[in-house]
Amino acid sequence: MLLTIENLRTVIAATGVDGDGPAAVVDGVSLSLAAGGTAALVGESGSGKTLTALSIMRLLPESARLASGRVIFEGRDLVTATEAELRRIRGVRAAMIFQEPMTSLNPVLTVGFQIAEPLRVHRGMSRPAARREAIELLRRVGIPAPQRRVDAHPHELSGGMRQRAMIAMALACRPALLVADEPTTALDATVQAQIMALLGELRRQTGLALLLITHDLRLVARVADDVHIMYAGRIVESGPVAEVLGAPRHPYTAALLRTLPGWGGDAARGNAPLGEPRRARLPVIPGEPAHAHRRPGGCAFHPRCEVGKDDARCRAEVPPVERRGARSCACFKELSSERVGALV
Amino acid sequence: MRNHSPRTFWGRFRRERLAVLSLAFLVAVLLICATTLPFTWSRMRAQNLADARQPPTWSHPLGTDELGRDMLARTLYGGAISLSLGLLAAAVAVAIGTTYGAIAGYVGGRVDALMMRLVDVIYALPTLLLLMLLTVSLGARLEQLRWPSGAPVLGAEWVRFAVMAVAIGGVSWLTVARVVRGQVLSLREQPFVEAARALGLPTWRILWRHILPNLAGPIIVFATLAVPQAILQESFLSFLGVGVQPPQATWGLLASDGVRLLNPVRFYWWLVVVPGLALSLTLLALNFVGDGLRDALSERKGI
Ligand SMILES: Nc1ncnc2c1ncn2[C@@H]1O[C@H](COP(=O)(O)OP(=O)(O)O)[C@@H](O)[C@H]1O
Ligand SMILES: [Mg+2]
Repeated sequence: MLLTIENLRTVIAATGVDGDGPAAVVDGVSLSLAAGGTAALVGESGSGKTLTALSIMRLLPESARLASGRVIFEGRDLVTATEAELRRIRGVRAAMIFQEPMTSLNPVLTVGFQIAEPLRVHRGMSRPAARREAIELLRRVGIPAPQRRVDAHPHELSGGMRQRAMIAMALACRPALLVADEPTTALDATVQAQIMALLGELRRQTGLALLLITHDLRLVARVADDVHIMYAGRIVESGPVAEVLGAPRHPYTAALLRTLPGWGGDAARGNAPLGEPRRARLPVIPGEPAHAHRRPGGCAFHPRCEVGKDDARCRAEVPPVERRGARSCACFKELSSERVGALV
Repeated sequence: MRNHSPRTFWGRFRRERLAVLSLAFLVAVLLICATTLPFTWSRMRAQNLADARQPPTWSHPLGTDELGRDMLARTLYGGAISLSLGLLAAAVAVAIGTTYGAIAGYVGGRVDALMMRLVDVIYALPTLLLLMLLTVSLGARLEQLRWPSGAPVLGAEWVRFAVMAVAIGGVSWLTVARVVRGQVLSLREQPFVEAARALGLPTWRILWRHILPNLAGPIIVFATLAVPQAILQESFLSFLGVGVQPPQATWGLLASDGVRLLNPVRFYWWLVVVPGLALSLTLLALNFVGDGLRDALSERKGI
């Protein structure tokens, strides 16, 4: 495995107002990703996806702290790595792109300068060599007239172009892993599709592994091998995409699927009915998403759960993760296929 | 709100009439003072007691001082010294202030708190006292500096000049430090800094090559406004007799010499008016340029 995360726990310092103690916003997350594979991390906003990604890259903000767990990347535990070791991994072996293509590029530096930076720092390339390579990278990510665009400032580029430039920066040193945190959420539908096509193409060409963070299940169905469903800091269900989305076992997964209009049984075969390209919808499930600082006791999802709402055990105990074959699920009331049929 | 705000910085600056005019004036003053330096260098020292305190004549268009030295040469020379002292002091202030503020802002936390507390303390000290302290302690050091051959590194009058520049820069960096620190503090939370860290770039590189270029605007404005302030401070010290020392000359020193000769019997007006006017006009122009730059910059941010 290229990347194996075991029992990752990340806590946020006390928020003061209510005198809350430190809250675990990432609570016992485990997942693994093979070289060249694509894993998706899915969940409502606030479920801890970004903090999971930042924990992997060891880029947590000051208010957050990696409390326990292991992040084994290419045989090395990043949790115990020093800052100097991390600098030789970030941008070289593992790279990350962010949700905001508008603000993730430096407004006063040219696109070319920013793409050349990792090459100059990690590869020790000369300025002209790095510039030539930056032009080549711009061409590879599908930016027209790269010789001209290399000297452009970010404000001269469209949102889609900026995200392409970000991808060029991240992939400049040919990393083995790309963590993409909602890379297309801020873009409109056609551009979204183009960016995902580009990522797929780069993956095939370079054997890059992709950890894709999104809340777009249709996208997951199209591009990912494995999917991990996150709720309130925990992974509640995971497994091969076709199996999990075709026959969800966790009521939360089933509820997520139900929020997708026009979602049919053929999702099980991995080709979701796409219809016209449209903006990914935020899944809307009745009830309030669990907040890390006020996580309900027992199963965090139980107040919104059709099955376990009134169940004494669901309200009292945290369901453990049960592994079965390639799939795992954390639920006392796992759905069988018939029940899913009744629910959907 | 003005409509049709030009998009480029220069486009906006060009609309600030007064600032453009002032900039032209400053460039002219600087050019004239600098190009005449080879002539004024010796002429401003040439004494002729027979010609002392002459009002403007054909041979001395701006009159002569109490030792019969040509005021035109002295004013041009004084301008070169005043301006270069102002520029040097501003450069010192910007260098210290930017480095200090950038480190405090980027490191943050306790280091930042401590560094900024120190700035508060220095702020509270009387500037004049600090300047005199620096002048005396630095001056003694510099005068003792010798080349291996035994010759002094700097002649006495240049020691004084260097000391004034460093001392004035050394007390006026506090504002830059505060401004830069505040900006770095907010810039380091920007996603592009996170992106740079995700690329494994070293901290110093992120600070100098990714964060500081975003501060070029405010720093240039500050530097422009720091020049007149430094010139003024030197003039003030000259009035108190602790500025640059004769035979060195600055506009401030010339004006204070003129003022010293004020008496109820005869008014040597040219000794006060000429350096005074040169000083005031230049300071005014520098301030106009600084304000114009600031306005042109802040409009871009939509303020
Ligand atoms: N820098 C931060 N400081 C404090 N709390 C944070 C910070 N970033 C995120 N959180 C909290 O952590 C939880 C998970 O956030 P995040 O990982 O950003 O979720 P997601 O990416 O799934 O939308 C949220 O409750 C959020 O309020
Ligand atoms: Mg997020």
